Amino acid sequence: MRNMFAIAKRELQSFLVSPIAYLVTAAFLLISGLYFWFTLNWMVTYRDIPTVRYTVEFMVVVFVFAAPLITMRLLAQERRMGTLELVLTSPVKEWELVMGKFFAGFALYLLMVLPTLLYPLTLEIFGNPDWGPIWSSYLGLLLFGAVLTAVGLLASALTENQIVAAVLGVAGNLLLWFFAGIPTYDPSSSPRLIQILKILDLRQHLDTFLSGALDTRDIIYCLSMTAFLLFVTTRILEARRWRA
Amino acid sequence: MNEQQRTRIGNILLALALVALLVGIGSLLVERRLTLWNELAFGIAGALLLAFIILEPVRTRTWVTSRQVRYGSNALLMTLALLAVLGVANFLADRHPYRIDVTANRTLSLSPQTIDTLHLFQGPIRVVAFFPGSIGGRERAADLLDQYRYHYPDLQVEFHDPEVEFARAQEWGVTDVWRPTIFIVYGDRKETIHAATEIEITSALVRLARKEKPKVYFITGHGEPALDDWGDFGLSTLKERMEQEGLEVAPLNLLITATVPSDARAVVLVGPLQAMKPEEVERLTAYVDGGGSAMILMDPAIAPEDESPALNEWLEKEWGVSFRQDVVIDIANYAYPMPTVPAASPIATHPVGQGMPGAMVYFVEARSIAQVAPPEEVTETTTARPTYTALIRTSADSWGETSRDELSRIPQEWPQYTEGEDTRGPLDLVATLENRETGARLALFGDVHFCTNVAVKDLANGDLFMNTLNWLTQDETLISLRPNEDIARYVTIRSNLVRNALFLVLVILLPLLVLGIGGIVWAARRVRR
Repeated sequence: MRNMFAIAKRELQSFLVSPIAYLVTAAFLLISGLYFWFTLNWMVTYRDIPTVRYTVEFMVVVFVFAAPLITMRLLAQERRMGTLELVLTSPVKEWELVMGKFFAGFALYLLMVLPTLLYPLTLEIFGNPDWGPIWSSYLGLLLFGAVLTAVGLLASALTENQIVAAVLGVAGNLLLWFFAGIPTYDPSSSPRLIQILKILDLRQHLDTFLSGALDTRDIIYCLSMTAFLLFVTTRILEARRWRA
Repeated sequence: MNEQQRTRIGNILLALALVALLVGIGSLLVERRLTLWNELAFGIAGALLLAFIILEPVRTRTWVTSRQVRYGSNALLMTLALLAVLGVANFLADRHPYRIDVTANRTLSLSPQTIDTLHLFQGPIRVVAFFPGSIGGRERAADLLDQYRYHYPDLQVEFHDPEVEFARAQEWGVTDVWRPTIFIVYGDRKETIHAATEIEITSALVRLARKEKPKVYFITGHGEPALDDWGDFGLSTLKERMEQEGLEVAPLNLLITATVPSDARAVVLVGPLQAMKPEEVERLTAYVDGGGSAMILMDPAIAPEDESPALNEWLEKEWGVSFRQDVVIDIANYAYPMPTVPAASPIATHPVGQGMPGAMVYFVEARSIAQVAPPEEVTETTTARPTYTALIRTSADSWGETSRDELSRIPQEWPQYTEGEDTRGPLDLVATLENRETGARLALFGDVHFCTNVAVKDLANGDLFMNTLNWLTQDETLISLRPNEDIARYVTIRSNLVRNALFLVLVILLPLLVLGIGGIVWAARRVRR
């Protein structure tokens, strides 16, 4: 466990000294801020209900693309530089390495999300928003962040090329975000397939959080998806050991 | 056969098995079911693999016992085991969901009555909602319907935009594309509503769940507008709509029947031109006093002697209410250019008004309704006293004009308010009364024209009539169904200066701050090196 936290700390520190983390965060805050600004104007002009629902939904879409940029280097760089073998021959277990890297990526994700709390704060200053859906939306954002980070980490474990890892991560996220719902629009799809794909569809689960409800189905989905992806990542690293 | 030949044949067998397997999978994906062809392909693949094993037992054994296969199969098994555990967890969560509504006013929680209503259904319920893109409310409706689906998974919901999907809207018979129209279909029955509120949706579901059509009787015999009259002042359009919404409509002549039929869910009296005989009134009042429901619509009396004294006496004594001898003039809210055509929205706190957010109705030369007895606080000991609730109320700039002279000079000269003679507004044009002890319900309207053919399709006039009738004929399970209190939530920024400052902070300064921190860290690192 100590190894895991040491890895997480080291990774986070290396994130915080790399310019890419700041660039990605700044770009994320710029487009999220713009989007929130537009929705704020809409709410003021049309006296619509003050909400961060649409901004949070937009932020998740941004993270579908941004999360792999954070995670692409986590394992791919170690592989490219040959340090992964060194780590794996040390007393560090594969799962400790994977969890350490995951927590580092997730911590950076949290640091990126943290400044966006200014958005609901703005609504509180100039209006009377319902904080229930705001908290549930942010909880959804955190749980989805965990899934997206885990997808990125898995992609990073598959290759030593960071660009390839990023592309694979984006593809994986898009698959969960967009494509899982597509067969539901095909009337010839079997109802069972549609039901299974609906359970896998990220957007379906996000909607509940955004509307102001906490549903065990959505929470279990996010946690189990994260656990499964991290497990597969660990198995891939283990495979390197017995393939050698 | 030498070793080399055996290896070559083995490789060919493996390659052919792979091809057969791919053909089988491809066929399965295209046909989406097991057919003779893909079963044959899988069979061939299996046979080729078996032939390889027989031909190359040493290679097979070496491969099966290799480190890669052992670890690989171990990893695969563990992954499958975890997948199964997580699959079971998700399956159980899906079968036994638990949801917490964290909204302040519990907008995502349905009332127990609604949940009970959903238990009456078996099989799919289809909701086809037409929401114009130009108006809001679709998201809120989707959230609400999602709640229904949470309690009744066999609820299928689809949204369409009638401003875009003309053909589909036409196919479903959407007449007003400017407002939401929601169809709820169960079996071969269909209900139509125009507001996605819990009270509206659940009321529609209650109507769908009923095995028999509720029967509504219209009293005849005193020159009332006829149900089959297609003229301007007939009720044929209203009758058509009532039948479309699952009600059975029948005329009732109280002179030739000793009692109101027992299957009556409500009795409607629409603007009698002659006085009702005392025995008729007696039959009507006996029905209502026994827990029945009645709707009484009265135009201003041309001659007070044409009014039914027995009916007025019953209303005053038993219900503490009367129709005033006036014509309502509203100089603030009226259908231009006639102040005698007052326009208003149903009072939002009334159960009928809750289902008509933002709706407007108008009346033509209406009379006002007065409470003749002082309103009493409803307590546990006084539940026998009918409760009076106004549904449509005029503005404060209105009055009940009583001077026939002044009224006869309209439109050359408009009446003026006369202190001591006229009644100062706000005035009630529609009110409902309820006796909680007997269950009797009464709805009074100070106008008839609003529901006749000439006006019933205007604004929400028809909805007002239908929703009030639904309130009268509702099942007892729905009486206490009230939507959750809706707190007005808004955000107000009046100054452009503040708006610009917010833009500066949220869109410009916040990202710049992050970049600045990044720059400092980068520079500090360079200096350290």
